Amino acid sequence: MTTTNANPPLTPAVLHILLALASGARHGYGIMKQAEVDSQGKVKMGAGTLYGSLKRMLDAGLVQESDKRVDPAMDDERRIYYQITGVGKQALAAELERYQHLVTLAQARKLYPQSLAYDG
Amino acid sequence: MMDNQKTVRTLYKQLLTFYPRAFREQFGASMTQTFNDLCNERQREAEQGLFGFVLGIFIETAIGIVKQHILQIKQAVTMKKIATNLISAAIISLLLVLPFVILELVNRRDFPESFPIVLFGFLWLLPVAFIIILVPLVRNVRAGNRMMANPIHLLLKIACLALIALFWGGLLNDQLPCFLGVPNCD
Repeated sequence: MTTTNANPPLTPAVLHILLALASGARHGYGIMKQAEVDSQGKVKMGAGTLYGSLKRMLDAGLVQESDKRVDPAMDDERRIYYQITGVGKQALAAELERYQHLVTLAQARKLYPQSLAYDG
Repeated sequence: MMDNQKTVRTLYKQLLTFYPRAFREQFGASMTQTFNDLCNERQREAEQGLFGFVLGIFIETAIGIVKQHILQIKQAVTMKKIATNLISAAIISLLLVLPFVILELVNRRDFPESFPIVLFGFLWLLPVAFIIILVPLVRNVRAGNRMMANPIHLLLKIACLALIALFWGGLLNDQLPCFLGVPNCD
């Protein structure tokens, strides 16, 4: 499948990382936990997936390292924090728009599960 | 229990050494930290066993290692492609300039001035730059990608191409009489 968009579709891991960082800078473990909360426990990212995705996202300019600091809620080790960039916000918005379009399409074709349907 | 944790952490550190060096240097410390966080979290949830959890993380990390190595190989292939493109651009440009070099050598061999290396350097480098800018644009068109996705970027590239073409054409037009052996040209 080829895409002709400036913002190509994101992998689930990248989407969850961007979602987690959209509400503020986080360190690796913080991103994992936030993704787990956001997905209601359905997404459990491992360190290999997380840091592999972060590398690609750093290279693509979707995220950047913000600083290295101690998380007061954890131990006294300094951690690298990551934050979403302008390009990352654009990619996230484009992906959410795609999802919204798909949901609308599914609703129009009456494929959307009745239990999840909404009137708005 | 503590011994188990220590062994597992040491083994995880060992596993991370299999990542490509650049990746390990960039993320190794953070990955170890995250693994420790996960182990601590597991420890807090006391009753659940460590073995299955650790095995899962080790397998996932091993898959990550393989993926990073594949990515590195792919990037090396891309770099090779870039190098090939550069060499192709250099050769095409050389072929373009070569007739004028021959004209210069043949027609001005009796004139006292030395061979204009700087002029031919420009005449060679400009088409190299032209080809390097043009090739990705042509590839995008052939791949059916939307050209207007980033209009400013596209306009800048087209402006660069036009400038290079104008400058090269002007330079050639100006120097052509010299290449043809007209006396007293500069």
